[in-house]
Amino acid sequence: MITVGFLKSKFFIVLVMIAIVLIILPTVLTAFGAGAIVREAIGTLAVPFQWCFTKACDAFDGFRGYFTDYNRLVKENESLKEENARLSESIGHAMAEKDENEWLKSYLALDGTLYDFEMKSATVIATEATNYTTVYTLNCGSLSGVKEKMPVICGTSLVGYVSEVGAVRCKVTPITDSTSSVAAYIERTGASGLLEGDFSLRADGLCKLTGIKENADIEIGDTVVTSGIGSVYPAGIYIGTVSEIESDPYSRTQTATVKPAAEFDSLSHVMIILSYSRTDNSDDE
Amino acid sequence: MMNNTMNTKNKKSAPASTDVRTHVRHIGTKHALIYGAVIFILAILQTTVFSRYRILSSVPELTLSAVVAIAFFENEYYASLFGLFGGLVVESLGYPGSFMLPLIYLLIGTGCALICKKVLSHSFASFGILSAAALLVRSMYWLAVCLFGSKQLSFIGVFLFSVMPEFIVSLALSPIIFLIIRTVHRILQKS
Repeated sequence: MITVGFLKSKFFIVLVMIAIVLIILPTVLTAFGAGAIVREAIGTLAVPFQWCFTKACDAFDGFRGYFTDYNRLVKENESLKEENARLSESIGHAMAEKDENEWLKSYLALDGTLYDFEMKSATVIATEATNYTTVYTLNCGSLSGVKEKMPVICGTSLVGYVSEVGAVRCKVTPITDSTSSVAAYIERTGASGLLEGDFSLRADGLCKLTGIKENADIEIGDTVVTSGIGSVYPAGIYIGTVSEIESDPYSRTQTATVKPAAEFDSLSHVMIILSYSRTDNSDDE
Repeated sequence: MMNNTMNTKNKKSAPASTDVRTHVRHIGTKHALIYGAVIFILAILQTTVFSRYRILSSVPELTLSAVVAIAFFENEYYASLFGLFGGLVVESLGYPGSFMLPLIYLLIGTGCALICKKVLSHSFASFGILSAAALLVRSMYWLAVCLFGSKQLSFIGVFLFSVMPEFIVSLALSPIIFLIIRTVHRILQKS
């Protein structure tokens, strides 16, 4: 029978063998610290095409926005001018406060908690937000000094971490992905928890802060920052704000829904933190 | 339709005992390159354009529809080869860590080609049935991966937010992929 014949043919058996090797090989190579060669080759080959399609999408968005968002932009421009005036005034105050702060700090010999970051700017060339996972492909790879598990930020907000590195590209898993978890705390009260991506919240660009003590002081609008526990993220990076709070009487903990500050829908330029050290102590993390 | 059915039934297949090189002769280099390019472009479209402009908050699976369409228009050799290739490409670009996709797409492609050849008539309705079946297998796979591989995911949540929308959107777009592959197939036949 022809049907059975094909399934027994060497051609089909060889293809199945290749598929099985493609399952086993990456697992073995990853165990030895190497990447998946075939996938890496395909991914690298796709980089220029992905870049072209992404640029085409950007151009289309820009073209569409030119016609549809004109009125919105005029209003936004006016409000930005007002905000600029307010900020200019604030900068004057801030400069004075900074000088005072530095003087007080040196006087009291306070241990600084700020970090010196060595950063690399990168462009998002593809947003591979499938229905099950979300991954951003950046145009920087190991040739630019990027390594796995490096934190990625946008402005001052946390985006995620580098989950896969190729020669000229890398993939970033955002904090909203269900495979991501970040040690974090509420800046106002110090209540700590674990920020995790949630499958049902991912579509809305939200994540949740779990394991907060039942009696911890937490309110909607509270700022969430990284705690620095673990080896990936430095402490004090702004994550977002609390948008909802739930209590679980069984586990006697609270869970907060967090709206990340990073705008994942329009992510185009990010910074990869290549290394970081404390400003005053110079402790390499 | 009858003629088409006859043509399909009469497609050549090599006997089981022949050498791999004999089987490879069933696949033309030009055909392979063009179908490969089409799958590659569809996979990139899927992971760039459609992940930005989502339909029903979902990214359609174009590559699998292309594999089914190739299985529909060509023979089982093409179907198995491009099933393997399609699974590898879509996994490399969009689903890091899910190493099973090449094998699953290979089996889906082969299965579709053999069913199309032996059971179903060569009509658009048959393609619809095959696409639905293929997408269902893929949905089941992802449902299993999500539920067994990830932490604290609910079956209802995964099913409603990801599996169902993806299935509907992918099936809705599969006629477009069918037309693309049919056009490519006709051009290749003429040349």
